[in-house]
Amino acid sequence: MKKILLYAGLLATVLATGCKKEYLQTKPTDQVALEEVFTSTTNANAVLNGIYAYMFTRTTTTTSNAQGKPGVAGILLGIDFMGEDVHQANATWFTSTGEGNYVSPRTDTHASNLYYYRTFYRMINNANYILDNIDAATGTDAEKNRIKAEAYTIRAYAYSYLVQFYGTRYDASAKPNNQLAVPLVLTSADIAKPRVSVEQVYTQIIADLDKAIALNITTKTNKTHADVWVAKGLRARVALTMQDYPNAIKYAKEVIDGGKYPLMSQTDYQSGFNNNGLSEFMWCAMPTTEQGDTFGSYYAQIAYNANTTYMRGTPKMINSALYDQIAATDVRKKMWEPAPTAANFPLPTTSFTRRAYMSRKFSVKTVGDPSLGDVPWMRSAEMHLILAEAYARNGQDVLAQAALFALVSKRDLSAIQSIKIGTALVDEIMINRRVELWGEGFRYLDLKRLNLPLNRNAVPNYVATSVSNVMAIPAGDSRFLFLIPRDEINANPNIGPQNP
Amino acid sequence: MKKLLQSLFVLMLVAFGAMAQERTINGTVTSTEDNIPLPGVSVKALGAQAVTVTGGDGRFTIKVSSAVTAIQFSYIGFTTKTINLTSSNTINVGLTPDAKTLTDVVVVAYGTQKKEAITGSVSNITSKDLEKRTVTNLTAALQGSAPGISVVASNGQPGNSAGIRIRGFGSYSSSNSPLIVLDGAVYDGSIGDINQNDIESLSVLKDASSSALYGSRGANGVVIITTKKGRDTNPTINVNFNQGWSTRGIPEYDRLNTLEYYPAVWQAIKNNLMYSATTPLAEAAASAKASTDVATNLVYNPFNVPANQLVGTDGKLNPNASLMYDDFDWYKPLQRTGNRTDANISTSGRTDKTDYFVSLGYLNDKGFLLKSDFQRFNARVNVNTKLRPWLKTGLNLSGAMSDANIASDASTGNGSSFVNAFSFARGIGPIYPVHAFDASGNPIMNTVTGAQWYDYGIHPGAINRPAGASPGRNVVYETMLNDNAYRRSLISARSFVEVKFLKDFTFTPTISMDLRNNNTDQFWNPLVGDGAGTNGYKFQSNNTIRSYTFNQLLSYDKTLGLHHISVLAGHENYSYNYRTFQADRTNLVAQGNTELANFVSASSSYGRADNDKIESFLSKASYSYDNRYFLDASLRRDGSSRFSPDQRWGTFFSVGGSWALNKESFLKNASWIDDLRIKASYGQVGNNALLDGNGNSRYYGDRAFFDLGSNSNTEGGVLLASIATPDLSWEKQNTFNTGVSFSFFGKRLYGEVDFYRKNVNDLIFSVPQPLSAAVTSVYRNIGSMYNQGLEIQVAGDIVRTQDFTWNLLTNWTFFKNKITKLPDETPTIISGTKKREAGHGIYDYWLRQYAGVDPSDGAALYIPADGTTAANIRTVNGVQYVTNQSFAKFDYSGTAIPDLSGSFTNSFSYKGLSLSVLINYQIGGKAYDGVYQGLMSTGSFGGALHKDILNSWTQSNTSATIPRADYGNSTNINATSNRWLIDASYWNIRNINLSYNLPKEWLKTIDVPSARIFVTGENLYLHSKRKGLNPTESFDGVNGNTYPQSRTISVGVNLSL
Repeated sequence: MKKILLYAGLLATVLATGCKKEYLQTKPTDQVALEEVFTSTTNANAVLNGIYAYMFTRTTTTTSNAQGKPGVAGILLGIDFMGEDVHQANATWFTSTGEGNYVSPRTDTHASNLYYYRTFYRMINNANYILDNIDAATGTDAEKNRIKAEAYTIRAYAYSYLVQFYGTRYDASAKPNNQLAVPLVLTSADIAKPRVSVEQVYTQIIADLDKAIALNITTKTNKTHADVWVAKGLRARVALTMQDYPNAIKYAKEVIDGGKYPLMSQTDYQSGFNNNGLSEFMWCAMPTTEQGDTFGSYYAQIAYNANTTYMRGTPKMINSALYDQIAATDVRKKMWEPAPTAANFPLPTTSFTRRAYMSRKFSVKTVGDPSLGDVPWMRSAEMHLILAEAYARNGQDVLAQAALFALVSKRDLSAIQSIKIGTALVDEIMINRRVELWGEGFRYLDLKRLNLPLNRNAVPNYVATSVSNVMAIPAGDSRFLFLIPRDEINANPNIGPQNP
Repeated sequence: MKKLLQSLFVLMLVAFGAMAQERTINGTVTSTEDNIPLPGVSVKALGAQAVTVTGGDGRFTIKVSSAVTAIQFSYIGFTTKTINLTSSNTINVGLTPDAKTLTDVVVVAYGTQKKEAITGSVSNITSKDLEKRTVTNLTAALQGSAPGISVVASNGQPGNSAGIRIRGFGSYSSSNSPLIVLDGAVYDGSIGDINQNDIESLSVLKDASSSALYGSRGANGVVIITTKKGRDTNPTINVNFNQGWSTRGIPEYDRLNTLEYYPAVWQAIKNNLMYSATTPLAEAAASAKASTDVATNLVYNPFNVPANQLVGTDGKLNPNASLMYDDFDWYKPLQRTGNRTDANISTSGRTDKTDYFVSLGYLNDKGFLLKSDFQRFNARVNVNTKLRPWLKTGLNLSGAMSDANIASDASTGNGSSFVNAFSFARGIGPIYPVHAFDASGNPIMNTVTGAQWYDYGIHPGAINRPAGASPGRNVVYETMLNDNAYRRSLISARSFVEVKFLKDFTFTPTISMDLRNNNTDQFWNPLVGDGAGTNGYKFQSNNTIRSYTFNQLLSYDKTLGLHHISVLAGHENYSYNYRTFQADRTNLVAQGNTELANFVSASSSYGRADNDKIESFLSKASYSYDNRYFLDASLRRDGSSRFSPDQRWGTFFSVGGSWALNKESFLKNASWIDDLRIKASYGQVGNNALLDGNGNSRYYGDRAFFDLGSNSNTEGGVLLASIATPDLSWEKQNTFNTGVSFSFFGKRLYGEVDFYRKNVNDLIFSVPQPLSAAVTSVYRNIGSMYNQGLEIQVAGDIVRTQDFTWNLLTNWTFFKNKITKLPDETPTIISGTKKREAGHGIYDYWLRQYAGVDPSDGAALYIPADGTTAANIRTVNGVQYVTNQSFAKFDYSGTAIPDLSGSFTNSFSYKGLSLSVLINYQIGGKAYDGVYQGLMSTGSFGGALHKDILNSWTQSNTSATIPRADYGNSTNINATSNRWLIDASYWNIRNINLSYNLPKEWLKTIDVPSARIFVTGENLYLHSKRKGLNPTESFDGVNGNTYPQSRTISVGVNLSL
């Protein structure tokens, strides 16, 4: 009997030691489940912040030269090296990585091409998750609206770059612009969508921005968030690209008249373009020391005193012909040094290289920190330039002169208002635009939107070997059109034809 | 009756009398095969009670009465021998291995089994096989050990584990690595922490019927490692010492030397100016400009003529140029003769109730590269005791402490990093010196230390090297100043209680635990490299793995006449917990201290914990009749925490049978047949080992997650990382295995032939999503694939005489892999250089199609993709091509999987001397030589170039088969295409071992029972199709800048006391 009990007991032990159900239920500690994220507006706000952080963080899309690819900031630098105003003495990052020599846009497997495409789509998709789920979250309507408005702005911002890279230029005289652009992914369920026309993408961008503007969010915790002024600024930028000058005027003027982001003082102008405290920063990244990345940050590639091998050995230079057009009394003339010496251009250590026309526009935020700084995504100076250019191109020269002077008078205290008209006025505005927005990602897009050729032969100090002797590209050439990345084509059966 | 009684009485008297006259017989029992002493041989006086066994040295002493006329020696696996007693009291006897007695016991899932009863496919590697190998990591010893096991030694870093695949590829996006079981439980330590000298045997379970008892984790095969136990009643001491020296085992690629370099670069600049510049120059102008540009682009000039006069407009090096210094070999200061010391001592013994094995081990393996080494201390105690006739218990406890300095290379995720010595030293142009020289060629000295500065871009008088020559960096200096180390500590315990009851039942609860701590330390110095900008950088991580397996097994074992039945049932819990913490700081305070406290600024910190759990119910039954027919079946049910509650439970099973033909009456008379059996098995096993894109384990396969840590200023941020896949479940493998094993002519010829087909269903694919999608890959159970193979092991004694034996053992593996199904929505999956599609193999190359060189300008020509616009077409001799790779056609281009792989082992033994030679080889398959592609590319100035560049197209060599070198268009000219594929066939002298058992007579004088000395060489020679190429680097055929394998020669001594 005893034995039987013993065996029964043993058998029971074997068969009944099955564990409780919870034994097999585990969860990660460095991730949050989707369901938890959208329980509240507080949590959902974290998705927005994730996108903002992603915009300045070294990419993980590719492992190739990722240090020179700090999110959107890296793309802005990359496309500036596709112009003629920002350049360097050697074929290193932004030229050998495929931008300066126009290899990456025309190579469907190129790491840089993949990175440009994916960076914006990842922003779009995270924004889509917000837009799909935010209504069900608990929180005030005001918070929901704010988050929604920011998500719309982010989505429009991302598409505004994609359409310019992967479609040929928008031509206002050829509406509708039926040339193919990129797939339009608008909900979290959208997948493997076909390429749609440039016109359709712009229609969507405008629709998103109009929604964001209608929600009229004017408060924000800090400048990492995109408020209504950013949405309007972007609306102006997009209108300018579409040669829709009346709207460019309307929205740029609204931002300027709003008065929230006045132009910087001359002192501030020389403080290194690295601080959200600067009055004309409308929208920027604000990484902390911990979020900074010694080598994979915007300032590690462009700040004259960033202590990185790249900056020590390869100072960034301005088109000397452009420099020569800056008035001697203009504070912007101080952003570059035609003949740098130890006296007029001090550098942190002796291992930094000096080059004629090198820049000191961008500086690291804190001395001692190798590369930290707040990356500007939008400055109000651009609004003045949009306004002036739109007026000028719209035939309203007098208004254009005044709009330009509003900016120039701040930069050059002894400036007098331009009396140029027509093409000469447009040219003057464009010179100002190139000088003012140097290094912030505009020149290539300007060439493309205005159907201009790239002509580096006109740049006296351009180093031809730094771009494998790619010195001139005719207007409208296929090199201005990025090829759709091979990874998209491979995995998206509906994508449609590759660019020619 | 009376007479009978009388006779009995007389007999008894005689017997008593005989007893009174005892004599003592002693001697040594050895194996005739290799003259090694045999411990544990049963020695029995015939017709008497006296019995003893031999000790660890093979010696025995037995007291017998004078009536005893003969002594019998018997030992498992050897023919029993009876020796008639003579007047001599010494009997030295040699036992011959018995081919007919196949009673070897093999460790299998949850127990042991007689070899003859195995219905599946199990390869067994014994301590004797391992003795010949001097490997720091056990995995390397598996290469060439048995058919169906392929091993890639991706990396020569001391202590590194090699990749193992058993019978092909069971997975695409999940792990393909076999399950490692140590002494009965899944092992979560590092394989590198196991002391090779502690190992009794390795069983490799290859088919479903062998591994089904491991259920959801058995699909990739199982390697069961069993450590030693005390076996001999005579306590034995084993001392083992081994000293080795290592050098680089695979040569460097042929690269241009200093004199060839400048002219080659000149030509590539000239080509850029003539063909890819936006304003092309005529030849004369291009030549002239190239002569200037080559100097400005390469920056450095180690010659005694001005840089712009170095290369003439004829493209030749100025005849007056000679070198001012010669300091261009970056390998020289980084390499050394590696040093490997391995010392072990173990003691073991057995009484009738208790057995014990205690070992201590020390290993120090310094690699041939500076700052790459591995040092390990091992200790193990294995004690088992019988407390009661029905109660046994035991504990096998081991500890290991490992310290290593690691070299950064491709296998540690640093393929093209500046701190990767191999990528740096291989890739830097041959005109850039290691040390600093001024423009006149004088060394630049550090006035403080008096030593010459390294050339690193920050030293006095520094100039920056061009982008392709790692400006601002110096791998030699950085390797010396930086630290990249890990420290591992392991405690591994296996304990059991075994209760026997009701005669045939046994109940065994066991608890096994592994406690592992990993410490990673990285220090970047403040002078040069990544730490220079931040005045030094320190990263430290600490992670702990705690895992346990708790199981309760109930078994029943019964023999009824010729019938034998055994049944096993059990329950098991497995729990794995991982916890990590890491932090980094910058700005070093005081030199010489690299601990975190000595840094000023905190940069970041991070921590997380993961859990992985499995609960299982398992059972197995086997039946045999007359040792002629064997049947077995097993069933296991597993629940895994990695899947959603609806998908987490799975059932796995196997059935198998074997038939010993030679025991049938119709073959009984065929005396030449020692053994002949056929077997077949079928079963299903699973694979739950999900991996993420970086090859790390994924523990949460079912939900949509956002990654934490994407913070923006003071606000927390998250980013979408995965989408929900609630339907994700196990991969299932259905394996059919059949085989025959044989032994003929007294084991003159023996072997095994196995055929298998593994059908993998619900194959998990990380399906690439469009880049425009929310995530770029989604894990789905979508495909099916099969692996089919024929494995042959044939061996025989080619010569077998009294003193000399020559044995040849050959392994042959023919293997085929094919995908049979992919889902309708993604009928093809393209990633990297491969495309997956039904009807093709998992490692079939899918590459752009290279078509040769345009003789007019040396452009690389590719076959156009369908629908390429006319603007992108170039017609050469009437054939249409493209020169922009983006418009080139993709096509299948062969496979990375070889047609045949195998090994030969020749073993010779002559008296106490034995020699074995192991050769591995592979025939067929293609390698994608990415390293060669890199050396042929002219993407940025300053990089090293392969010698083949000298044969590329030039204006005077228009019939070349290598396209022009061109700094403006390398992306297209050297695009990833089938041009870089090369036959992956190779042969490799993997191991040579020469050993000598010192004669007893010599040893007697120093009172040592047995001693063996040996010389071993590992990885002595590799022959591949291109110098520098190691086709065994990866399974998918793609190579990188990895630490090459080393060639090690060692000498050693092994004493038994």
